[in-house]
Amino acid sequence: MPLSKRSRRLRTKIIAWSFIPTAIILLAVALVTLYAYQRVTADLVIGRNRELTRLSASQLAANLTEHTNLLAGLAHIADIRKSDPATQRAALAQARNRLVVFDAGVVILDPHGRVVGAEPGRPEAIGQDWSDRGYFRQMLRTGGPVFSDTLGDGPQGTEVIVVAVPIGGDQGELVGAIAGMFRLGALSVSSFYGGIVKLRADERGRAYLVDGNGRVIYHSDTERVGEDLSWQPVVRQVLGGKVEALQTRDRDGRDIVATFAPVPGTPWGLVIEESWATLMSSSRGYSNLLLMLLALGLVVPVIVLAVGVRRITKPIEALMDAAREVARGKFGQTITVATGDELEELAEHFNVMSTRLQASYADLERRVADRTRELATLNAIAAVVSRSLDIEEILGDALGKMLEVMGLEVGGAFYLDEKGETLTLVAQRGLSEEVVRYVTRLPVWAGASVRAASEGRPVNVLLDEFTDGKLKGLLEREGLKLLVSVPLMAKGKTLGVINLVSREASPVGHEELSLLASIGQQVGVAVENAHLYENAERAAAAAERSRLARDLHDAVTQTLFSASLIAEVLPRVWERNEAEGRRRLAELRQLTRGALAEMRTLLFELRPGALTEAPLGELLRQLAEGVAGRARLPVALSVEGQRPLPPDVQIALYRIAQETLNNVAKHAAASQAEVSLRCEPGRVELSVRDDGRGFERSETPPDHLGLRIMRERAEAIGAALHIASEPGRGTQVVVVWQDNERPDGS
Amino acid sequence: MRVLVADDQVEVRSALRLLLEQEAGLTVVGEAAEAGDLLAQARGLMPDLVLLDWELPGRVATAETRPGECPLLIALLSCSPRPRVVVLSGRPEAQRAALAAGADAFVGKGDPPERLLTTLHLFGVGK
Repeated sequence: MPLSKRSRRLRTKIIAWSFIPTAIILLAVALVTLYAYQRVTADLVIGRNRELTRLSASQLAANLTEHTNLLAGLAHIADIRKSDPATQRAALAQARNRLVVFDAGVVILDPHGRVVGAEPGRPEAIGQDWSDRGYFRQMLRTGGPVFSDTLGDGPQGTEVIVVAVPIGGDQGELVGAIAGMFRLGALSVSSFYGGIVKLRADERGRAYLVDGNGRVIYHSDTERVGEDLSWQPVVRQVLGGKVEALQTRDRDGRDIVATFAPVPGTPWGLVIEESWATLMSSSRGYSNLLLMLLALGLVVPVIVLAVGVRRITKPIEALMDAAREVARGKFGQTITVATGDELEELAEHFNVMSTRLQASYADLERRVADRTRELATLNAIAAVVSRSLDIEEILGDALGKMLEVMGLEVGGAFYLDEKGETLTLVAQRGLSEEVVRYVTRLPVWAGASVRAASEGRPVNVLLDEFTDGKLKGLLEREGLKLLVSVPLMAKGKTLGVINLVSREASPVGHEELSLLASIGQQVGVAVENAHLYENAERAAAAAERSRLARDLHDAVTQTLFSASLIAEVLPRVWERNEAEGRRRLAELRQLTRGALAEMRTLLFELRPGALTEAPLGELLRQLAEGVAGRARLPVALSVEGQRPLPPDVQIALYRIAQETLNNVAKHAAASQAEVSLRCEPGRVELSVRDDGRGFERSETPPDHLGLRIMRERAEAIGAALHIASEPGRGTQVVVVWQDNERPDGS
Repeated sequence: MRVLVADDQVEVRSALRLLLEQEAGLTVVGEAAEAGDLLAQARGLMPDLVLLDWELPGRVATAETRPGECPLLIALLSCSPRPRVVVLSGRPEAQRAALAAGADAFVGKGDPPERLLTTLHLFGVGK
């Protein structure tokens, strides 16, 4: 996933993880609050309405007492109290003005419920039996004022509400009842209605009064007066005497709250309906506010978060970019973040890390460069010291290279003898003759090299520390101040020392001493190598001499054995045959002479130096005599010219002649042999020829007959070797050495 | 007694022949200078005794050589009739090897000549 997408995901994550839970909680809280508020409001409103209605009902009841009082007042008129209908009628007529409020008239009944009189007059009603009227019966029962339900006791049978009050006699007996009537309907101008009209809570609400049968006595929708609402549960409940408020639906299906209460003292019920929407309208405003706040509460944090998060993620992105650059290899990348919080701290740490990384990378590079340089130096030394197997050359080359490495000009290389006591100067640079003479042979313990040689590691030695005053003086005169002594080590043993001298007094540092120690090791190994090579050469030479000695011993033994046998039987032979005896005696003489010559040759093998003391011609004569005695064949020797030869050339020619003559004696089965040495200025030729069996050159391996050794010896002195042989035709070996003398003597 | 002389040095063969010819009852029937020639002569001449130089050159074709075995000696001893084999050598240290390999006697070339004669008498020479 590309890194920029990753940073967006971080932002999204922060927003999601901080915002969404908050939003959810906000929403939940808001909704719960709203719901609770609505419920509480509803409950309050309903409660309030219930009380209001009950109070209104009580108020209504209180208002109604006005009318009962009026009637009760009438009922106390003396004439009315008389049981005489005519009197009662006259009194009633007299009180006409006070009865105006009863817009359907007033009626007097006798104790049996018969209509006695009415005002305004209703002659048709006089004498009617109204005892079956419910209100009459109730009044009889209760003895108090009574309100009726809607009935048709009005003039011409109109529907009226009757308020009846008993008329009491002097003795308290019931004399009759006086009943006032109110008309129902909008046309009624009675104050009774007036009281009821005030009941409406507001324009949109409804209020109505139902009688004990559920018929509407009054309704705020005036057309509905007289309607039968007994089927409505609300009406049923209120007529059951309950005070309550209900949330329900009205006739048109609108949500309403219906509060109802029975009117005390009457069989009626008061119902006030208000639309739910109206009730809740105030709270609706509030819930709208709440919703708006909720919306704000969701939107604003989103904006804040989005902005704020960018402020956070921007430094993080900067950090990421810087880290990417470092990962790509641009160490030392730094960033600036000024947020003053953890991110700034993180950025600071990052900067520190990055700088350190750069520093340590640079340090590493430097070290690698140093190491590479050292390896190159060691490599060069290795090449130099492995060039040669000569100790002088090795030490001279090593000294030169070490001086080069250290940037110095003066120094000396010393070889330590086997006993480890004496240092011999083998090579030097920049030393004066006096110094050279002085240090040519030094006991190691007396000199400046003692510490290096004994401790086996390079050592700085200041001139002041020198125990040897004379040497100190000599070196000081040349302005030299410091000596660095490097032991040459192999297998933990010091084989020599290389001393480097400097005009600066500051000691050589640890790393350079380490390098010098490594070089010292390499040179030590090379010197050891040279030793081993010398030893090997000497051992090889010794082995060969040993072989030759053995061969000679064997040869001499054979000769002497033969001689002794002849000597043993010579007397008897001589007696039998003098001629034969003489022959055998001559043979005996030859054998013994041959044996002597062999012995002289043997001596040469035991004392190799002797080979170069006698002239080559003399040596060849000895060889010839020896072979003649051994092989019983004449060996002719001719020597022409005489000149001193270089020792290695003399030895080589001698050995080749010896090997060839041995072959003649052992294998050739020849009848004669010839050795010739011809010395000319600039050229020496040696030739050995026999007339024996010969051999097939191509079928003979070079190891056979010592041919390889002969060839090596010839090559070692730069001479040419020619071997000619044919089966049955004899063999000839010729060695030619050219004298290429050069002006410098090599 | 018929004797076969084997040595690569001509002077040794000549001296031995001279010595042997002075003894009565001994005849030198042949001389050999190398192993192959010796075997051929031994098979052909059927000598009674072989004087063998331990350092005689030449290889004998043999199937397998175990250490301490001398194939030439084995081949000689397997001739019929089986000849006596007296080994001569300039190296005294060869005595043990020669006797272990099956030789009937050993005489060193550095020993005095009468030793050789005494050894030969042991085998019935001069009877």
